Amino acid sequence: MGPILAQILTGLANAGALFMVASGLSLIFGVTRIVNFAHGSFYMLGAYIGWTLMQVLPGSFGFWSAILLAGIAVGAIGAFVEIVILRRVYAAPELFQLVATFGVILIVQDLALMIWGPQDLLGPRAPGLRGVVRILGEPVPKYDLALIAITPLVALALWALITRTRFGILVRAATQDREMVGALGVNQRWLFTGTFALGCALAGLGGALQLPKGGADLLMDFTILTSVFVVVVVGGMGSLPGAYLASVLISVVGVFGVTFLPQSTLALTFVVMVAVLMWRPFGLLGREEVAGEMGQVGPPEDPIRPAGWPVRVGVALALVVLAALPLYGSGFAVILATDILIFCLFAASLHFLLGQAGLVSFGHAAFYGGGAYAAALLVRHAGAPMELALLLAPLSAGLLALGIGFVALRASGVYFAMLTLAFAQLLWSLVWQGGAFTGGSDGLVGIWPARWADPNAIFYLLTFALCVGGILMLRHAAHAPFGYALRAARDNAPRAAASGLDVRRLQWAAFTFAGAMAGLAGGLFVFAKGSVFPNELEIARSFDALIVVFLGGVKTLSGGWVGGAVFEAGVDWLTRFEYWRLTLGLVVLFIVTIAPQGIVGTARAFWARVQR
Amino acid sequence: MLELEGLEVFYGKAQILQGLSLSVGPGEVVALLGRNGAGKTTTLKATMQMLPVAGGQVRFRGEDITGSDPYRVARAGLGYVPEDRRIFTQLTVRENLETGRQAAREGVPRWDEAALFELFPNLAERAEARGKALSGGEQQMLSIARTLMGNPACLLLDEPSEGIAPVIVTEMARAILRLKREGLSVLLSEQALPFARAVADRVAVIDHGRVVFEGDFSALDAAPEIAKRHLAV
Amino acid sequence: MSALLDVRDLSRHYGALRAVDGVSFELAAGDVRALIGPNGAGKSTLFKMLMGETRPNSGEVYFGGARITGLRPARIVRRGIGRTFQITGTWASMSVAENVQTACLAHDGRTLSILPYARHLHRERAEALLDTVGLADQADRPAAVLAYGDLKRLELAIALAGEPRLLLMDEPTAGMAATERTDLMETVTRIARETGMTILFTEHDMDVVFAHAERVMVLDRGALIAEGTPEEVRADARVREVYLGVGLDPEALADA
Repeated sequence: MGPILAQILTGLANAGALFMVASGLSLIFGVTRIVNFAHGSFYMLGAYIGWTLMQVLPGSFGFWSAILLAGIAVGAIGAFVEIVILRRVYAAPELFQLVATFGVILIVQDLALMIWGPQDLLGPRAPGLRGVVRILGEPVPKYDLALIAITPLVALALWALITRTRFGILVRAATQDREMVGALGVNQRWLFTGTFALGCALAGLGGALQLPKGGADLLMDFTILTSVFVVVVVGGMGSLPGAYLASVLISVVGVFGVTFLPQSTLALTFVVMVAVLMWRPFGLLGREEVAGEMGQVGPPEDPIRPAGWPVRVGVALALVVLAALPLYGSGFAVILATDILIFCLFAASLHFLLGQAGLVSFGHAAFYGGGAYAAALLVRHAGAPMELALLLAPLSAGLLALGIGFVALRASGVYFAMLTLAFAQLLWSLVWQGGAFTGGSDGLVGIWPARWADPNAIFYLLTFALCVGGILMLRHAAHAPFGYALRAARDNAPRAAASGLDVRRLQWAAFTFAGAMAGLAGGLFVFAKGSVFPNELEIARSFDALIVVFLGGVKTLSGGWVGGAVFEAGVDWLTRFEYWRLTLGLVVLFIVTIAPQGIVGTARAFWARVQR
Repeated sequence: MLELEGLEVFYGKAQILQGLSLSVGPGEVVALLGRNGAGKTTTLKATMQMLPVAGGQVRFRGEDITGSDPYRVARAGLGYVPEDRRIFTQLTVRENLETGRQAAREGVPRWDEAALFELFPNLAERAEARGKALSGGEQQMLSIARTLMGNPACLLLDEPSEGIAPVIVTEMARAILRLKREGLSVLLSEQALPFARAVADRVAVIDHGRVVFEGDFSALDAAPEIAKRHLAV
Repeated sequence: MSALLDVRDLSRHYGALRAVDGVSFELAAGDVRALIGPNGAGKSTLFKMLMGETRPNSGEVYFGGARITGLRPARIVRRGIGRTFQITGTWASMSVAENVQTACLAHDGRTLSILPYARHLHRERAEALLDTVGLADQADRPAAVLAYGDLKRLELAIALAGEPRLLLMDEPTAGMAATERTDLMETVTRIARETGMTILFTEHDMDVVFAHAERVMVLDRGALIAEGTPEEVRADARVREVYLGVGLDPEALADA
C-alpha cells in the first residue's frame, strides 16, 4: 500500500507544473484562438528567471518571492510579446499566428542560451522543505507535499476568477465570439493582452515552481509542450477542471510507468490518451464547439484551374534546366539542390493535407522521419537494396499515417493538430529509446545509395525524378475527383455528408496519401545523407514544414514547393551564424508581419495590382 | 441622432455600399428595407465600425465616429443587435446580460436586469439557464436585452423577425414599440414589409448599396413600383 | 402500397429535455408536406434523426419499406434521402458547375479517384440540373460570388444530383424576398410533380407554407400537435395559440 500511495503523491506533485502550463495554454487559445506554441518557452523562461532570482533573494521568503516574481515577470514578457507581435497578426489567417509563435520559440531558445549558457541548471532546494516525510513508511519529499497543496489552490483561484468575476465572464464570452464582445463596448485589446499575460504568468509560475524538482535546461520548452498538448487533449480544451484532472491522470500514469514499464513511459501515456479519446473525442470535460475551425479562414479561394499551355511549356523548360544542373552547377550546388528537392516534396505533402483537406497537422515529421527510418532500418537489418528501401519507405510511412490517422481523425480542429504532434513525439521517443535497433541518439549511419546511383549527379537525377513526380502527383490530385471531394468536405462538411461523401474516410485517405509522400521524401533523405538521426522526427522538423507552407501560402497550389525551396536555401545560409535560431526567428516574425499571404499569395496580389 | 453620409464599403473587390446616406432622428424608428444582398447588414455593421469604411462618414449625436473601434462606438451609446443573435451559448442568461453592461448615460433610458426581465418575462424564468438551452425566440430576446444593458441611445437591430415563429414575431414588435415609447431611437433592417409597417415611423429602401426611397408608409404605398422593383413584393 | 417514409414513435432526449417525443407519421411518394412549429420545437432534431446525423433514443424509421434507423448518413443518402440546410450549404471554393459535378461524383462514389480531371466529369448532367433550377447562365461563376437566392438554387441542384426520392428542406426560403420565395417553391414543387420526388420542408413563412404544402404537420415541444390540410391547420385553436399567434395588426399590438 505504502509504495503505491507514494507513487500517487509523486504524480500529484508532478501534476502542478503541468496543470499551470496547460491551463494557461487553454485560456489563451480560448480567447485569442492562438495555439501558443511558445507556451513551453514561457515555462522555460519562468524556470530560468526563477533560478536567477533565487540566487539573489535569500531565505524562505526569498525563495517564494522568487517564484511569484518569476510568474509576474513572465506575464510581463507575455504582454510585451502580445502587444508587439501578436496584435499585428490577429487579422491574418489563424495558422499564420502559429508561425509567429514559433518564431518566438526560436528567439527565446537563443536568448536563453546567450544569457544562461548551455549547461543544465540545478534547481535550489526550497528552504525549510528540504527533507522527506515518511508516509506509511515511504519517504515523500516535503516539497512534493507543498506542491500538492499549492496546485489546487492556484486552480481554485483561477476557477473563481473565471466563473465569478466580470473579467472571467468576458473571457468566456470572448472565447465564443470576440467580435460580439467588442460590439458590446468591451475593449478587446485589453482583454486579449490581459488573457495572454495571465496565461504566460501561469506558465512562468509552473516553470519556477518545479525548479527544486527538475531544474532548468534548454530542452524543457519542447519537453513540456508534448505533455501539455496531451493534457489539453485529454482534459478538454477550455476546461479548467478538465486540465486539472488530466494533469493528475497523466502525471500519475507517468510515475507508475517509470516504476513498472521504464522502457515505455511515453507509450503508456499515449495508451491512456487514445483510450480517453475513443470514449470522449473532445476530452474528459471538453466541448465540441471549442475545437474551432482550423485551416480555412478568410474569403474562399478562387476555383482552381489546371495550368494553361503557356505555363506548362514554361514549367517544362524550367524543369529541363533544373534537371541539367549537374552539367553546369558546382558539386556543392548539386548537393544543395538535392536537399532542396527533398524538402520541397516534404513541404508539398503537408501543403496538400492543409490546403486540400483543411487538416492542420503539427506532426508531419512523423512520416518524413518515419519513411527515413523505415528505409534505414530495412538496409541495416534486412540488407535491403536501395531500390526496395525507396519503395517501402513511402509504403511504411503510409501505413503509419493510416494508423495515426485512425485515432487522430476522431478529433477535429485544434485537437487533431495537437494529437498529430503528440504522436510524432511518441515516435521520436520510441526511436530515441530504441537502443541498438534504431541506434538511439547515435542514429543509423552508413546508409549509402546503390552503386549505380552513388555519384552525386546520378542521385540528384533520381531525387529530381521522384520529387518532381511526387509534387506533380500531389498537384494533379487536387484537380481529380479526390481533390474536389476533399475541398467539398473542407468547405462545408455537413453539406458534403448530406451528398453522400464520407468525410472522415476522405480525410483519412488524404492523411495517408500525404504521409506516404512525406515518407518518400524521408527515404530519399537517408540515402542523400548516408545517415538518419532522431531529430528528423522532432517537433522542430514538423514546424519547419509548417513554416514553409505558410511562407509559401496555404491557399495557392504552388505554396508548398515554393516555400520549401526558399526555406531550405535560406536555412542552409543562416545556419552558418552562431545564433541562427535568433536570426531565423526574427526573419519569420518579419515575414509574418509584412507578408501574411505568403510568398505565392503576396506575389499574386502584387501581380494583380500591376495588371490593374 | 444618427447620420450616415455617402458610406462606401468594399468586401474584397466588390463594392457593397455605394454612397449610402440615411438619418435617424431622436426617438424615431426607421426600417431599412431591402432584398438579401442589398447591403442591409453591411450598413449596420459599417455604422458600428465593424467593417472598414472606405468613404463617407458616420455621425452619432453630432460626433464623427468613422474609423473608431467598435467598442468605442458602443461606449458612445450605439447598441448593436446582430442578425443571428450571437448570444454566448455557454454563459447563463444573467452572465450574458453582464457582458453588455455599461455605465448609465445621461438623457437616455436606463436599463438594469430587473427592467429587462419585465420587458421580456420569458427571460426572467430562465435567468440561470445557459444560452444554448434557450429557444430561438428567447435567444433573440436575450440578444436585445444584452445590448440594452449598455443603456444605448440608439439601437441597431438586424432582422429581428427573421427565422422566428409568428407568435414570437408579435412579441418582438411589442418590445420594439415599447422601446420607442421609452424614447429610444431604432434603426432596424427588415425584409418583411408587414413587420416594418407594424413598428417603424419611416422606411429607407436600399438596393445595390444605395438608398432608393426614403419616406413614410403612405408615401411607399403611393409608389407601388418601388416595392415591386426593389423589394420583390 | 406502403408509405415511402414511415416514422414510428421516434424520440430523442437530451437529459430532461425531450427534443423529440414519440413522433409518428407517414409520407407517400410524391407528397409535399410542411413541418411547422415554434423555435426549439424539435424540427431540426427530427431532420437530423431522419438523416442519421443523430441517433434516436427510441423509435424506428422505415424508408422504402426498409429500416434505416441507426445507419450512417452516407448510407441513408445512398438509399435516396437528400436534404438542404437552413444555412445554405454550398462549396465556396468551386465554380457553380463544379459544385454540382462534385455532388454527382459523390453520388456515383468515385471520390477516391486521383487520375481523371474532375472538371470534365458529369459536366452535361450538371448543366442539365442547373438548367432545371434556373442557374444555367451562371455555371462558370465562382459559387462564392452568387447572390443569396441563387445560392439557395445551387444547393437545390446539389441535392438533386443525389437523385433523392425524399428531399428534406430546412427553411428553404429563409432570408429571401417574397417573389424569390414563390419562385423557388414553384421550382421545387414542379420537380416533385415531374419526378415523383417527396418533399418534407420546415418553414416560418406561413404564406409559403399555406401556398405550397399539400398537408401541414405542427410540432410543439417535441410532439406532433396537429396534422391536416393548410385550412385545417390554420383553423386549429391550439396551433394558433402556440405558433401562429395574433399577427401584427395594430389592435394586436395595442397593449404594448
